[in-house]
Amino acid sequence: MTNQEMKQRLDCIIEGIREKYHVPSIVVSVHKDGESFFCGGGLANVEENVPADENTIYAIASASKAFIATAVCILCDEGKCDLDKPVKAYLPDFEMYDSYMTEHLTVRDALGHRSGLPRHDIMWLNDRDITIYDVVHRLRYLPPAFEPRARMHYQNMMFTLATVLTEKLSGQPWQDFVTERILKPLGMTRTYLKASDYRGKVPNQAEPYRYRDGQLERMEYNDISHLGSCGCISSTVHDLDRWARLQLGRGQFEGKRVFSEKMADQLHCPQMIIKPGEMAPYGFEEVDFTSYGQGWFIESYRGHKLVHHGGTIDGFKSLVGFLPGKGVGFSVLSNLERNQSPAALGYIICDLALGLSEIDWAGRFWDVMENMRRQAQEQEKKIEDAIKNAPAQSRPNADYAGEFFHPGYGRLTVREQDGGLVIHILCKDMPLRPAGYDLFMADARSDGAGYVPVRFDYDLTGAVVSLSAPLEPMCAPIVFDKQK
Amino acid sequence: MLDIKKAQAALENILKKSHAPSASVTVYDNGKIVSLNAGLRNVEENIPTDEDTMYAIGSSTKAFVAAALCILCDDGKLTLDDPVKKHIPEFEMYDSYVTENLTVRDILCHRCGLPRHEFTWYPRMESITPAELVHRLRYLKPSAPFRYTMQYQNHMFLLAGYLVQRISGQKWEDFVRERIFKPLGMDPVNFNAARDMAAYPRAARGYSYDSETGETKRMAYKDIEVMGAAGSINSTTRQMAKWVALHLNEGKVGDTQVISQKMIRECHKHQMVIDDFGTGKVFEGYTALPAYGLGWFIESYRGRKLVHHGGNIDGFSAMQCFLPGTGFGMSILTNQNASTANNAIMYTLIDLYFGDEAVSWVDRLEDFYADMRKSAKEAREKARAETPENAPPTFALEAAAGTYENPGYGELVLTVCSGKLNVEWGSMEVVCEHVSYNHFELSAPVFGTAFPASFETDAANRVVALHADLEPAIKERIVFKKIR
Repeated sequence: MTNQEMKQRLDCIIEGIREKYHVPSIVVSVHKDGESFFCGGGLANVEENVPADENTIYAIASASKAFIATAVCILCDEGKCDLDKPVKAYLPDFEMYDSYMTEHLTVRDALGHRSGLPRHDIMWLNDRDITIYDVVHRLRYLPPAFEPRARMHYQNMMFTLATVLTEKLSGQPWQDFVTERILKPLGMTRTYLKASDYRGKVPNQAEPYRYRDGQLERMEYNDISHLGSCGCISSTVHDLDRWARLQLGRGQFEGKRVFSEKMADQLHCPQMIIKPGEMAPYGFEEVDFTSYGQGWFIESYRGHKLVHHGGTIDGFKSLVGFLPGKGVGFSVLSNLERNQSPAALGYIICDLALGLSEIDWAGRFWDVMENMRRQAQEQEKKIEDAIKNAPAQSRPNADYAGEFFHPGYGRLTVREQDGGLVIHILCKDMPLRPAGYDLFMADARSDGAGYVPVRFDYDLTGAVVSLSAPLEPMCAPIVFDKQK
Repeated sequence: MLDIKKAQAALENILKKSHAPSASVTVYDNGKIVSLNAGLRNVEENIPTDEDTMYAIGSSTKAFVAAALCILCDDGKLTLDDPVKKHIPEFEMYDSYVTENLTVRDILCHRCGLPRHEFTWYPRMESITPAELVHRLRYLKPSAPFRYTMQYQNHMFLLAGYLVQRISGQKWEDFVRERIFKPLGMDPVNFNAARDMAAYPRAARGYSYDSETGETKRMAYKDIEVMGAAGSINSTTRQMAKWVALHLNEGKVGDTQVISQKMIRECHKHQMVIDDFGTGKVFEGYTALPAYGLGWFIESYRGRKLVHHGGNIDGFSAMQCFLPGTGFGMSILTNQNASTANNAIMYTLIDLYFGDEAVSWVDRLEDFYADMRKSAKEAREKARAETPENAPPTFALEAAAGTYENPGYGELVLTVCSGKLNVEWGSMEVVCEHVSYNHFELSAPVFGTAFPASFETDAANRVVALHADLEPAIKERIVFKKIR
């Protein structure tokens, strides 16, 4: 298939997916046979009718991880960093919850999701007035869910750690280092490392949307600059095409060497096995040998080695990938919450580029997502039924109100409002619905998080002393102490 | 479908080029069994091999021990994630954290941090017990952090066999006989080459080929019962094909579920990544994403998932393999020490079976090892050329005579015999040559390797210790203190 033919076929497929998934815009870059092309379209901004093209800026979310992993590898090339050295050798104040990991966690462990730490995402979603340094400081208060290095578990904060490490070892703000060492040599001129550098300032940017109950709704832009390079980069498919070509070129882009082939091996070769069910809820027979390198996922797709990383954040979904040794690289950007078009298109691009039979990936992912939606709805329904039939709460509302604190997760406030209770969590007020005695359900449905159980505990005198909530499902409920 | 004529011709070609005296192959293809045989099981007596000829399967044994522990998991006696110490309270490793945290899964997938440390047991396998070797694990230094990299070794499988005994109350051999061989109807099969295989009338003799002289020499049967769980089984390809079929049929033979589907899948699942940078040019472009399961290697071979485990023990090289989901597997047994034939036969017959373009695997492998031998020889000659001539030791050789001990490696005795140092180290033949000053070289012809060694003297110029570079993965030499 020539690139021209492939572009035509892809445009047609993308149109179909946009319609099926209700995605305002999907744009794609493909590099094949030594040439790149762009396709897709739709609206970057529905209200203002701004069309999307290869220069439209989208949040790429977790596809940012490979940038900081690459930055660390550049520092390794310079002899400033060693993947197998404990992080503590570079950051003496570094501390994890588990003292063994404090001493032994290496840079490779951090970039390979094997620290034993689960996501603890509510911690950084809840507390936004913190810096990357605060996030790293709070690691000591976040319990692990797994034995060190026993299994891969995807999370974000180890990449915040890598961001801090990059600053320490380069002596520069990480944005400056990534700009000078990666963005500039690649000519990635519309890639932004901080939302405040471009939001509302440059033309042609995509807005985040969600599709709910048959309606397309604009979402608020979620600025997660306080997390560093685990998910805060924004870019275009024009720029990500260059990024994919750099990775495909094992560190070399248009004759310029950005990082060594030796480090390319570290980035793109499996370091940590991902067992079926550990990462994604679906097991497709075409996909096997799933693993994580450093900032990249690696798998065997229909017998071909595929390296990729996607990203998910409020109203955006992205994917960057390449087929090592086959000269194929691609990127997909879209502006609809939790839509699986990037994942589907990634495989479709591989099928077309490799000349394999076409598979209805859009249909398959749709079925998976529908199934998950149904299950979530059933779960919600169960909780709602439980709330309806719940026994009365044990104490008057006023007894539960107060400020609650956890050193890792920060502050939660419970207040009385309109005869009920609300909890201030994730930077917003959510109703607390009584679910019997001292158990309440925080209604996070508007955030797509269903109901979160919140339980209050009191001392021998009957005074409420703490609140606990399973904010990290892999760990025991997180306990917040009531502040005097 | 396997073209039998072509397969037979390929087999004969591989024997010719690898100089292996014989090979027997039994193919299991979706319920059907076909055997291919070539060469002589006994060269001196000119006896051809067949599928009922007994060979040593070497490390292919590991999968049986892993399966035995999985069966005990099915019985509810343990789980893969139990710490070993839970079942062996006195268990101890060099690193106390590993002592507490090493799990059953860890010991079956080569991630405990230990390198091979082969000379702890090989020289004295006739005089030491498994329990004693398990006890001595506490003296063996790791070469990698816990669960950090896959390092193939034998000690953890010795431990696995010992664990079977501690949990079931039966020797691991008896357990495997009763729970695996019996339901599979595997007979003949035994666990001792020196005693049982030697007494079996249809046994192959083991041979080694010297590429320098072009000579094939008979090797003695080795009693490796002490390290048995890492490699002591002897059987025929007709019997071993039943074992391969058990894996393809997910633990079931007839109506009997020998091992649950859940646990047998656990054996074939990727558990630990194997670095795939530097596997050598020999497999480049053909194999990818190598990993270790539980007692099995897993790789993507020309895009297909291949599960296999070879075995090398004095005079024999083996290979058991299958491609999950295809119904195709093989047992391959040869009577050549450190042969290329077992690997060459596996890949060649897989290519033939799937109709893939033929690759001359035997040539590629032979060339690869010839290059390796050549560069090792050159490196050794270069090192020799750089050492000063006529630089005698700083002590009289007689001063070095005596008994030396290392708590992990045991005892060795040095004597002086016609002006040279003579090493008595259990049943292993060791040659000791002077290099310069207090530096010597120990070589073990059975392994075809040489190790630098030096003597430590005290202030009074008395020889107090021998430092030998017996474990290449560890920088520090193994120190044997002179005790008598």
